[in-house]
Amino acid sequence: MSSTSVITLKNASFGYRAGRLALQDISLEIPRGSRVAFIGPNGAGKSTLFLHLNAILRPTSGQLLYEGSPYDYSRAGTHQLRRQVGLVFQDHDSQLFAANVLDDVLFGPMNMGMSLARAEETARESLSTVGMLELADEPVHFLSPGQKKRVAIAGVLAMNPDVLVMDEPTAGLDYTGMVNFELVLTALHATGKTLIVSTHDMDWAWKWADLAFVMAEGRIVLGGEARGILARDDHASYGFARPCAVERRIKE
Amino acid sequence: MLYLDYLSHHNAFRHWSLLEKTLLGIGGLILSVSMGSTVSLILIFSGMSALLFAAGMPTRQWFRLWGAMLPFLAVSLMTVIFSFSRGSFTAIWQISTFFGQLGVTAAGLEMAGRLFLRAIAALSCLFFLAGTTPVAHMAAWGARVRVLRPVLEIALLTYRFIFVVLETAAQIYTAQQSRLGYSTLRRSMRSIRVLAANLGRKSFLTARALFISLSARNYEEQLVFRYPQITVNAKRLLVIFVSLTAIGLSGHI
Repeated sequence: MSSTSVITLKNASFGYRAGRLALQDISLEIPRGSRVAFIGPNGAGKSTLFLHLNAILRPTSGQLLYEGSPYDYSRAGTHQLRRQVGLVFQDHDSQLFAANVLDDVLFGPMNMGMSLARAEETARESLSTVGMLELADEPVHFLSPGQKKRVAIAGVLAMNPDVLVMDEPTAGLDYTGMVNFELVLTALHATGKTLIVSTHDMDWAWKWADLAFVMAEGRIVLGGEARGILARDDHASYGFARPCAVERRIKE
Repeated sequence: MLYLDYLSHHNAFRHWSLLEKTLLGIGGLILSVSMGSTVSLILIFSGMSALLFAAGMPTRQWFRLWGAMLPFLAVSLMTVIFSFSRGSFTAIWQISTFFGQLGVTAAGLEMAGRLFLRAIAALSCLFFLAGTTPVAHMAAWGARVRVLRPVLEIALLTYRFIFVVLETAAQIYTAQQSRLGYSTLRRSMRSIRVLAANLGRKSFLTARALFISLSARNYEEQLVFRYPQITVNAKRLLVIFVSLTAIGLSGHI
């Protein structure tokens, strides 16, 4: 893993309403090519933080940097940022808007100014990466939740971002969906992309993540090497369960 | 209706060009509305139904589809079948009411029969079109006319979110049912009211989430319309044209 930071947050804070901060003084660095898990209870600010990474939201104070340069919130700047940092939403039904799979996936490439033929080619490549090419012409509403999740990822992948941010991607996936999803992530990691996810699945985070950040009430309360964070004795005070592998080892 | 949507994506005619299917569906519809000949209307109804079966429509689903349509048709026909007058009139059957005479006339019955035939012929054309052509393809075709694009964008989004709303409604309904929400008529009315109110709220939240997710992919207030590249089969087009012309002429014989 390279030690160069792809995304840096410096004292970033954000409030939806006056008097209540959804993010408080967040400082962290995401190394390029790393696999990062954000954990913490619901309402901790993970989704709000992810909207900042994709420049949907702008911090009320503090700064975000992409490869050392401050985020540019101009129209052209946000366009460029959203090509570099792709965001997959937790609720796939609010992300997938088109009538069929291919139309949804080629939406991003078309917005990047590609011709329809080129966008279609890119979209098919992305669908192939997530193992959904066979269902390219299928209507979105006939897909299973796991398939919708993969199409949502393909829709972002088609914009070829360096960083892929996924909000609770493992939520609601069955065993097969989970296995397929892990295969997709492995393939993406092999291409050098930086992968950032939020999750409540500690066993999966233990297995998958290089780094982990724990959030609570809009703050980063812990951060560092994933296995070191997840195996802490004081995990309960931070609002997360220890992975089964750790518990088993302690019992033995 | 949901089965028609499924069939539109998985039918035997999905490799037919839009021009062929539209000519057949819309051409048949125009003939149904403009022609009065019983023979023509029966020909259109039976022809379109046969095509729908050939496309892959199961018989049971076909009956269910018509079962959903016929009550609406029956209510409309009532106003034609029954005549009302303050004075007397010649009727096959009539009854005196406080307000006047209510009855069924031969002319009314004949008109209702013709209207019924016309309606089922026209509906069968629409069923054929809806059951063999995905909505997205029709929208993409229409979007070639630039001024129609904004309307078609809204139509496509609405189409997609009908299924999201239906799924949400089903989930809310199940949750209510599991807690005895529909155990009495009164509770049912209340549950339906709550369901409708929550669907409205959910729709608003979904619309907001959709805008955010579109923005994350650099949405510039323009959606993509992808027109399927299917070559028109000239021979088939000719057969469709000749068939429609023959049906049209049969009305004048």
